[in-house]
Amino acid sequence: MTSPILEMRDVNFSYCQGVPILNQVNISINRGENVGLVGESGSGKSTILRLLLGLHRPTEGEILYSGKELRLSDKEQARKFRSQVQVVFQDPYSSLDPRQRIDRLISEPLHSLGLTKEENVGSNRAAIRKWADQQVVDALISVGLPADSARKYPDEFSGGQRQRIAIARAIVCKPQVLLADEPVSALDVSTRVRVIELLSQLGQERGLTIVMVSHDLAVVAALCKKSVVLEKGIVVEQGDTSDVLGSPSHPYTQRLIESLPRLPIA
Amino acid sequence: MTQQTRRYPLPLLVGLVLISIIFIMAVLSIFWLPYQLGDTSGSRLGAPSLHHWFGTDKLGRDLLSRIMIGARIAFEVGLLSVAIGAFLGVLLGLGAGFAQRWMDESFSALLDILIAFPTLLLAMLIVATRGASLTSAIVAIGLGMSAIIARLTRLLVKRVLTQDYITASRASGTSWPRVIVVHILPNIWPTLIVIFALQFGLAGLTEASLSYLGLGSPPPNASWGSLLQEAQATVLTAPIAAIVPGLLLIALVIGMNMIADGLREVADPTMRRSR
Amino acid sequence: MKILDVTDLSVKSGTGLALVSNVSFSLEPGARLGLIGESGSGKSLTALAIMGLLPTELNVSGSVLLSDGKTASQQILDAPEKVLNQIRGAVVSIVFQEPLTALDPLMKTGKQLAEPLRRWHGLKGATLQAEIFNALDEVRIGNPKRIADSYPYEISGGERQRAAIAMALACKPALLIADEPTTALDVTVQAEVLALLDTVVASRGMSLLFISHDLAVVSRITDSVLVLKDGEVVEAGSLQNILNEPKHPYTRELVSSAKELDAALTISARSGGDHDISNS
Repeated sequence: MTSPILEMRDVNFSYCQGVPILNQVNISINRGENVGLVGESGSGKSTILRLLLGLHRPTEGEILYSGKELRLSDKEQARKFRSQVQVVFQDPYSSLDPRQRIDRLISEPLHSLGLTKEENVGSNRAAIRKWADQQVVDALISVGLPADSARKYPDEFSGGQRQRIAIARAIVCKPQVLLADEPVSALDVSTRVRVIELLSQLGQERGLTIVMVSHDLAVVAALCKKSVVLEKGIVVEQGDTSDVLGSPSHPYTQRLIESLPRLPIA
Repeated sequence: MTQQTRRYPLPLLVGLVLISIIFIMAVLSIFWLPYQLGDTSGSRLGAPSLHHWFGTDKLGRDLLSRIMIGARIAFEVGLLSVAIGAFLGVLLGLGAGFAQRWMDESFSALLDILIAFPTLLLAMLIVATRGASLTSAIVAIGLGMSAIIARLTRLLVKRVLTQDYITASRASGTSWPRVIVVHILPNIWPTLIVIFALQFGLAGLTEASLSYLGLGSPPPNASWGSLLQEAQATVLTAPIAAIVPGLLLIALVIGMNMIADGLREVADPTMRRSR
Repeated sequence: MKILDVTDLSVKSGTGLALVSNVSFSLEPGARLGLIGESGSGKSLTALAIMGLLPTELNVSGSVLLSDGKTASQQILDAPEKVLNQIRGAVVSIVFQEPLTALDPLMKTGKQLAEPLRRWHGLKGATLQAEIFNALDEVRIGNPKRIADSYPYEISGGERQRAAIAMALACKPALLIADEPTTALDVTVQAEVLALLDTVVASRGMSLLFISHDLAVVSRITDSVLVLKDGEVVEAGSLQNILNEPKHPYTRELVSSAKELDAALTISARSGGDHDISNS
């Protein structure tokens, strides 16, 4: 078995004030297996995502990327990590800089992570720009948006389209892992399903592993092979989504599933 | 889809007209004056005539020339003090916006003290140490302004930092300096510009107050404030000397206020369109 | 006699943009209706119109007739504020989505609940206190004294929403409008609050207008729905009909999305029982 691509081992976490947010969290994310982080408010699921993204250091325990401890002070490791692990946020209205044009927005990771140099595009400004533009167009088309979107501004797009742009930005550097924080919660119901389908499709096409935080079990069920159930910072249950949903062992999980609003059986 | 309405609000136009008049006077004064600064050839307190459009002051100096110089001083003061206030204020505000909580709270308290300190008093202190001059006035006004701008910048920076696009940018590997230049500054700029415009007008008013108190540029330099002070004694016999500088001061402040208002309308839609 | 009779309700913005167009529906005493719509569908504006709470810059036309089941119907649109004040709370009440903004953050919860009780039933002192606790008990709040003595930000989202419901019910209205009352709540809390609404509305014989974007949530509490899109009613009928034979393309899209997500839960759960690692 190859080692997990991302791992949390015995992680405890609290912000400076000291209120513990996470307690002894152990999670492994394997390549090709989408993972859903399920819980209600205060469960710590979004915090886990931020830790996996390297935005905070765990108070205790370690975060491992490709088997090695994540040390973002190491510039080279940081660069590689950031190009391989990307993020999509919940609020499509706050995740795009309103004053930036879409092409600049999407190509930001390419420039910041020095990918233009890696690809040996040459040091010629024009050649770099051309290559970056092509990457942006490819990304936009992958998420189902027309190429001319590149020259527009975020306020010209709807919530669902903005989320696609955010996804395009996340995949432009061809990452291995996509961390998604409630990516569809802020969208209209009819748009939700389409964005989930997009994520699923991208996952398969690009060998992307998706780690998704969601309070909505249905969305997790549609996208993630594995699930981790969190209650107040503790992992109460984890495993195959089908097992967690079909035969939940922990009382909290059972309560969660029973509370789900379901459509009446025809 | 959004409507791109290119409508210029009326206040903005009126403001631009008012300020343009003053601006033209100011620029013109650099190249040409009806009478030179020290020229006291005219009759004392002469009424407006063909030679002296606004008449003369008690020393025989042409009022129009002095008023034009006053316009230049008003602009100098406005531009330079805003430059100082903006530079210091934005820098400090950025620092405060990023500071850790305890540092930020002590910083805020310090800013509050600075803001509460009246600019006039600050100006008097500086003048007491360095002597009355235009420079002292500008420095004092600029310092006072920087506290206000720092406070606002800090608030704006903190707000922007909560936005996900900042986190997304960091997750894209962008360094903090670049995040500030590419994401933070462009997003706080529209609000700051409005404040700068407002402060420009206020700076002119403060300078006039300082000159009126004798703390501004000494004669024969003719800021509107000193013109007002001089015209005080003879306001009944030669009202023009007091009315014109007074009206122009009002025009300066109102004009800049209207421009600030108009700027807010023009700049805001860009930000509001996002929702 | 109908509790609510809405005929050709139209709301236009100051610039003439149609926000709600020709919406018509009615409610008998004790009946429930779900209003399904997404953002921009005009569902919240419809609710505000019924309460006579539309912002003044909007132009409204049509007819909204409200009755408490005993006295004659009252036209809400263009009714004077005096009349509306008598109706709000006593005939119709509303519960909003976000209790944190619906409750005054500077007033203790108990005090906020006391207001309508004092105004409508003239209660004071010990009787008022007792009634407050009764009201909080009715919405199954765990510790009524603690809640009454706390500020809104000191209590949980679920408790706030229950308090908001208690306030809405204080004056015993004939119609309760609930605008996305559970959308901002956690799943487990949502289930409890929905159950509470169901019980309370049934026990008081109230009519209910339940607004939501979530078909599954609506199906928990009512059997007939109205589908709104861009301010217009595109389909109306029983929930079963809408789910099984949606006619309008928009309704079909909504239903298929809801079914797809619901199905994901069933498929996952089903394959779980046999530890079958099948593709979902």
